[in-house]
Amino acid sequence: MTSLLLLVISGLRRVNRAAEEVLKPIAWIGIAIMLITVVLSVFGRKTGISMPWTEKAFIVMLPVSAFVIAPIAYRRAANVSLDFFHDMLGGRIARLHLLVIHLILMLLFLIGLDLTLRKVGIRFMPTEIFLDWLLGLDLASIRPFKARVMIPVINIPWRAVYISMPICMTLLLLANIELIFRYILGLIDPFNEQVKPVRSFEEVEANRAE
Amino acid sequence: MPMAFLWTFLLLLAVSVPVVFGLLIASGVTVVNDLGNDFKPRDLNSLLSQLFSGMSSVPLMALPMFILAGEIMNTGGITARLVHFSQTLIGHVRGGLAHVNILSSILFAGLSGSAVADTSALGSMLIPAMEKNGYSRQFAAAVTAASSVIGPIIPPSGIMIIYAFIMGVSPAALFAAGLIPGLMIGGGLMAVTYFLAIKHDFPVANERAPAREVARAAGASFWPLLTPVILLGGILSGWFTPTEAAGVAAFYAFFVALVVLRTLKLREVPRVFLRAAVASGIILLLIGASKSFSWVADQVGAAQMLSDFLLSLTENPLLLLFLCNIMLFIVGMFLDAGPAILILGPILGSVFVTDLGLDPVHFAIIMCVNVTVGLATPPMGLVLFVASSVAKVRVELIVKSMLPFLAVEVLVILLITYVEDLTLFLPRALGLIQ
Amino acid sequence: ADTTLKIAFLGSPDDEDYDGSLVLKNYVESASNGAIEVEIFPSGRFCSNADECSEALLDGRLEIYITTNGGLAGWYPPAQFLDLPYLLPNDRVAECVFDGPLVSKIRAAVLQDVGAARLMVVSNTGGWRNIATTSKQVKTPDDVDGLKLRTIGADIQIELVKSLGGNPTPIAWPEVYTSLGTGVVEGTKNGITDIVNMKFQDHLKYISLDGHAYMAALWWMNEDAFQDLSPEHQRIVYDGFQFLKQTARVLPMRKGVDAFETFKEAGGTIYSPTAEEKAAFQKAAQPVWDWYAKNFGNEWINAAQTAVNDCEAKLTAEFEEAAK
Ligand code: NA
Ligand code: NA
Repeated sequence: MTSLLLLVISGLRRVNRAAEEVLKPIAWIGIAIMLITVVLSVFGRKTGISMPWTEKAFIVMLPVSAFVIAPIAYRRAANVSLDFFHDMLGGRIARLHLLVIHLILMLLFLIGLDLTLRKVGIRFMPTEIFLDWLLGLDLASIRPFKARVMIPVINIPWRAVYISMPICMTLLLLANIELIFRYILGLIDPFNEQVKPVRSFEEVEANRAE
Repeated sequence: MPMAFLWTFLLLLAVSVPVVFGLLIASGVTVVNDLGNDFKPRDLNSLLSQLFSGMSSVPLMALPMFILAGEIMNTGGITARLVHFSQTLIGHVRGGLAHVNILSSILFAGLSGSAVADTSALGSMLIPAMEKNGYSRQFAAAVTAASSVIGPIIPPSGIMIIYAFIMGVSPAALFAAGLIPGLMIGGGLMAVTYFLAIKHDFPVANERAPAREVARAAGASFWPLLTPVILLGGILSGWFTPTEAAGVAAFYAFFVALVVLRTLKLREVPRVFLRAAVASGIILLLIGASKSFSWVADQVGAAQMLSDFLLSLTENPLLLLFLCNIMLFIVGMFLDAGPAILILGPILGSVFVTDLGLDPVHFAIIMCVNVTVGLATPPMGLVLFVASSVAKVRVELIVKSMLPFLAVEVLVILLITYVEDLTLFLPRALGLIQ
Repeated sequence: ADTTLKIAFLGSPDDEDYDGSLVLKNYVESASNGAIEVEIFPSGRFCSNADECSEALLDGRLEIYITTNGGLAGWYPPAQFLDLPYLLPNDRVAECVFDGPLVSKIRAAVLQDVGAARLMVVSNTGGWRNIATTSKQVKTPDDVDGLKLRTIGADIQIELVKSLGGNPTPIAWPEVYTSLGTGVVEGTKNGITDIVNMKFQDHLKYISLDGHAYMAALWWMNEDAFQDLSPEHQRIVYDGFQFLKQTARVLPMRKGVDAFETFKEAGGTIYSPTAEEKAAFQKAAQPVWDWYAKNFGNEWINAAQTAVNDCEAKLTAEFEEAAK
């Protein structure tokens, strides 16, 4: 049992780390592009070269950059939370508590995956059937969105931008499953090396400095 | 159960579910719970729409840019120069380093829009220095935490950008309106320090610096200290909008750190940019999630309920403002400044600005200063946590030392609440509002 | 109520869109004996930008939504012909055109190509777009040369400013006031009521009544929501929209009277271009028409010009009859 869990965890960890290595350069280059775009638009206006596309670039890049960061931030527990309750709990109960939270988040990400796929025109039967059965959501009544709404000036369909959302949801789910397996392992075998939490950004930074 | 969205959210928050997911789950639960009445299943799609459009807006671009500017300055050794400059100016006074701490925060506030950046940057330098100089570590942490809330009150300010965005107010006007309250807090904190220094016989930090050294220290911080001048000058002379100013600030910081001061190495650039991307990505998602939450709150008529409730207590606007302050202060104890603004802004705005006719910029500053001071109040205060982890002192001990400073900040909040001109004079004089 | 119809728009309750919606709500709810309920969401409360609202309408989450010409261009790009500069000469012709067969043609084309939305009526929101400037009176296209004009992020608006020789500058709405004050932009292309509502007259000192675009408001209903209604209820809703149209068309004109007065009291100057100057504007704007024809062909241009010519003839005949 433990060895099977370990196998799954190490596989998922490898996948999630690989995803992180892909997302990181996208994230920092994205910020750099935003910076260049602002400077260009200020400079362009001053010199009389009009660049009306810049504002459209921002409305695309801001949400996409958030969806790029979300999976890494979630896996490394960087989102703000109130931790008093958790800090009150000890050992096994604390682990059980985290397990329950991440199971709830799994439902959230599954709904998110289903809805974001519909948003780009895809009806995904596995999540639909599962969620309708479990929560009685009647997701089947939400039709996949087929109309083509374009972003003026840059002439890109919104749908192309929305694709970042189901990708984000998939990565969130992969991170979620890794964390859940880690907590299950923690309940069975609390002293296992793999039970330690995923390192936070600060820890990663500190290790680099050493 | 019309307030179900709120109770669900508070419950999720209490059991340590991250705020961003708590907001989304509470919104979703409200829709599902009320299916067939106010909602249909496809309204879940509206939540997703709100999440997306909440982040997809031009003025929000200022957020990642100011965060980037702050990251660059922290990495680029600019903080150290500011502290040294403050020291030559005021280090010889009794309680010297405490004053230096506050003055550095004021200077730093002109470059950075974040209180947390201020706490970690100045705290990691000044808390050990103050301890060596004979202060208790908890007092050093308290001064750091109390003064770093000036960061987002003196422009530029991340909080005000968020507020301007969700409430449709001009960010330039908010920036101008924050200057005087920010300086008032700085002045008030220095006054308290002055009396504490006499009472506890605090040490001086150094001899009065000769004019030549002051000049040299000023020269070393010249380039960074030029940032607010460039920002304000650029905005007022029509070179760029307040939103674009954020990008200009980041670009300027980048240029100064990389080329002029050479304190930022080219190979560090990806790491610095990534840190900014992570910090802003987290906040952006939170903004989107709180848009979903506000949407649900609006659909079930929450603003109206709150407004009816408040107006049933009293119709005296002065009293209502006082109640509002107490409520914001309590909320600030539990919620971070960003989420507090995002969740409460639209609801309270509709009561005080729309129903009671308060000036939108004035109300914005009351709200922003309140939730910013909330960053330094227990139990949930990000600045407090950071100060505690930098100083390695328990939060409770810091809070005890901080009470006199908090008293000053509450006093300033009351002053700006009831003396409208303290906030509105500057933006009016600059022609930013009518 | 058996059916709830949600109406959303970005304008505030001070807007004529709100008045029109109230009239629709009142008529539909009473004529249907409460079987149909109408809910109004002004100020972007249901959806916060044009594309998001369009998606909500096309998605069926929102039953009724009003687009501007620019907003419609997002999901039906050929509709940009409605914003072709100087297409419509005045309110009388505009109203006649938007009561005529052109509306049916747009309705049919969108039902055919997009499918999810049915055009109900066309009203006006805010009057006409004019060139308003901070420091220099625009009388001819030459005066626009090098001018930084704030435009919305829509192709045809940008093309127009470019054709006149200006520099199109998109600025987010909450920042327009400051940007006019500091000189980031030197003018806008808004209707007079929007100018006065946002207190732009603090900085804008000149308006040139070139009237380059009629600010049409196109009222759409989600097609499924319409088909789900019984024929009797469809008729009630249709009639409600006719009353809405009358209300929403009259108000901008009435509010414009006060708004122009406010503008003048604030020290503003209003200039009416002469016939020759107008012709010069039309000539200078020709590249925009070419740009449109290149991208979308001549079908809609021809249809629109036919509609304008027919209406001019009809109105002249009416006048001659009356003056006989
Ligand atoms: Na600041
Ligand atoms: Na400080």
